[in-house]
Amino acid sequence: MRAHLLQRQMRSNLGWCFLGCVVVQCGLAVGVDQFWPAVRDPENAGVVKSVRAQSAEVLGRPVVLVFGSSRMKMALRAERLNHPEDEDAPLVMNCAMPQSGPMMQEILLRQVLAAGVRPRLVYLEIIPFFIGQTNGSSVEQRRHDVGARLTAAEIASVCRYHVSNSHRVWYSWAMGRLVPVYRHQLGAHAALGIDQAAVAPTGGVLSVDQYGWLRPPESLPAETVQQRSRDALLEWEFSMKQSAAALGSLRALTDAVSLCRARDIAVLFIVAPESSTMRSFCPAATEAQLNAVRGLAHELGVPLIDARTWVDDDKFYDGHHVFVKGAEQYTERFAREALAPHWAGMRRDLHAHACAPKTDAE
Amino acid sequence: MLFCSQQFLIFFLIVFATYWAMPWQRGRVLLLLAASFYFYAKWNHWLALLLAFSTVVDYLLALGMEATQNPRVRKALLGVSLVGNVGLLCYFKYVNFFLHSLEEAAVACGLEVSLPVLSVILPFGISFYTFEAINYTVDVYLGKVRATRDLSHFMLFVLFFPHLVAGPIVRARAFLPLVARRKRWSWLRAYSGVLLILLGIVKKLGIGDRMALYVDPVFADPALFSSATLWLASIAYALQVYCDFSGYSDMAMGLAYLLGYHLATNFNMPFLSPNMSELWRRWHMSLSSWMRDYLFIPLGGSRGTRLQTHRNLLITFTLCGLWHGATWNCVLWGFLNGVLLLIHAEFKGQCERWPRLDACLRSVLGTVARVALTFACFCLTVAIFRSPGLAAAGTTAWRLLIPTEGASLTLQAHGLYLTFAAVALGHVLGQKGISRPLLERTPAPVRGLAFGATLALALVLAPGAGKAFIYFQF
Repeated sequence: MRAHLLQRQMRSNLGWCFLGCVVVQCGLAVGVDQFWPAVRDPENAGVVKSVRAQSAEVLGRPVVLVFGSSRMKMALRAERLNHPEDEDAPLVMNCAMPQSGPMMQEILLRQVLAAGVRPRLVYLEIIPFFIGQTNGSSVEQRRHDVGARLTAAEIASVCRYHVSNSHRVWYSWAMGRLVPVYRHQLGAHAALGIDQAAVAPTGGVLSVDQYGWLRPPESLPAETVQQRSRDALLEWEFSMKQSAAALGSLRALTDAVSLCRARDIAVLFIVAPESSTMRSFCPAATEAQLNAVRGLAHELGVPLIDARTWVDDDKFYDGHHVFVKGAEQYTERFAREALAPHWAGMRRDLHAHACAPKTDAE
Repeated sequence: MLFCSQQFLIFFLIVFATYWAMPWQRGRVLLLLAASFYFYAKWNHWLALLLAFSTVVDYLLALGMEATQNPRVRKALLGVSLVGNVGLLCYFKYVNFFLHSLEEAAVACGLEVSLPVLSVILPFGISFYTFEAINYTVDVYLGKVRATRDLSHFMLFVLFFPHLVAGPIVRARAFLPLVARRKRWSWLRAYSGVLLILLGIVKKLGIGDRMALYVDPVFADPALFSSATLWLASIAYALQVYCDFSGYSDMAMGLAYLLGYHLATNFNMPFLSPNMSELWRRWHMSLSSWMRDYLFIPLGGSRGTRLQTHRNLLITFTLCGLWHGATWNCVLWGFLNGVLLLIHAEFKGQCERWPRLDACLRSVLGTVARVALTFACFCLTVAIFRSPGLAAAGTTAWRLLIPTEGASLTLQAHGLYLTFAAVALGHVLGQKGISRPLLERTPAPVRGLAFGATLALALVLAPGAGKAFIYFQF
């Protein structure tokens, strides 16, 4: 009888252990999804945190945000565009994220706005072959296992862009939430400060500065550059040959523009720089992809800046990512041709708005 | 297949479900045997075949020993078994070490010799299953255990997957009766098994693998680091080895429990030992007792003069060091442990003549000091063991003993201090016997939540890439 009772008690203990595991995992899943963006998506959370911190430091200054992929992350040395001594100068932040196309840029833009940052001007990077589609999906949608990085609400929004494979995004999200400690382990390490180096690395290759610039290599041997350029072409060849535009990508761009317009934020599209080899690889398909973007820009009334030729061929280390010298060249032209004209116009408007006599209604 | 992998989880769940769904005891034994063979063959099927072959040979030799009363034949059969097992171990584990050492010795003597390096794969767990096979044949020879007639039973004794690659080293006389006994499902055993597996996961993933992040950069080049850093790294390495291996043993015991088997306890709060002799009674207990029964006692044990006893102890521990790895660092480590045991034995003898000193050492403060000194000695020896080469071991020992300036840890140390505190607390709770009653008094839902939270914490703390168990290489 006693043994029977003991067995029952142990069975109940095991049951509680199992239930405890389920409850803890569910709790973590809810926490990760709703309350701990730094665990769920350390990369985007890092950008949001950095933008908030910088804008808090120069409180009252207008904010300019540049979204894009790894190309923009390495090419735009935003530090050079910031002039703390000039009180009217805007705070310019590089918010690009590796592997980001229109969809991920739109998500990050939403996250930045939700964090209370109010930019005056936003740049959205366009990479033509990121717009090209195969079987209804763009390269970004095919390559990105984004589900686990997003909240359930964001997933619902993103699924509108995934014309053919939204189930994959949900699957990735579900797996991330089912065993959050496994999928989000690195995020948890970063958020909890585990494995932090005793001395923080500063200024090295592939370190991100306070304005969001990812420092590229200074130089590489010519053979390495050639090999990497060949590899890049091989990697993207298929996408570069697709002339049809992915509806999801165009919809994401449209949504990003609408989002900005609703908050009175000016938007510009800027085509990313690339080497002449890349530009001439499949010109017909690239032109078709660009035409789709041009049409959209025209339809939405958004200026489109073509920066594909802004960097010399010898300043790329793989045909589309720049060396430090390439970043300097790109940033200098960005300041002159993308930022200055638009910012000057905006500043005039702002001043005019500020000096205009206020009506009773105002 | 590592215990802490998704692949093993699926493998074990299938084996577990099939095992308990099967009503026939014989079928269960065959299932476990097939699963164990698959477990090993998944890594290397040729070596799995070799292992199976050597097991069959030992089985036949033991049957032969039992069948004859002729002492010469029995001795010859035992000799064949010993030579076969030790020969396999030497070939796979030590051949390149011996060749390399021979070459270095020849060069040191001024001879121009270039010996070949054989491309030999070290079979996982060879040191463990060789010792198990030896204990069986020796026990059959000595008449301590009867040779089993059932080949599947004997093969399961050697190949049983929970203990196959890193022990505990099981004894035939304890394990073979378990194989024959019909198993009944027990919730008590299942609960104990699950708790042991959780404890093993916490030790292995949450502590052992994490300590490697602190240890590896320091021991890659000990000459760069300060004495304080080397001490921290040495303590971290002691914890890493302990948590890695005792974590594996706990998981092995837990898995065996879930299948209705019992494996011997391998560790018993070793870091609370007040002397080296006690430490070796609590550390890797299945190996220590094997070494005592099959090496130290046959060498003469402590039956002869004091000098003979000391010689036997030094031989046993030097070979124990060699068992741990085919490097001179391991040999030196084993030898140093032997020396420390001799010093302890001599000191203990002196204390008997000085009752006041003895009483002082047995007081609370004295005990704390003895525990700390024993732990420090152990850390010093494992630092030598972990150093990359004999020269580096010398540098490490020098820097540990003589305060020297140098670099600090590459990672922030607060995690290390927290881990030290957690292991110390775990040891004290375990030693005082507080943990189990505390667990039993906690309400079941709280215990369940604590279980879930502990598992989650261990998985969060695990470094990104899973590391293999340290003792796999031994």
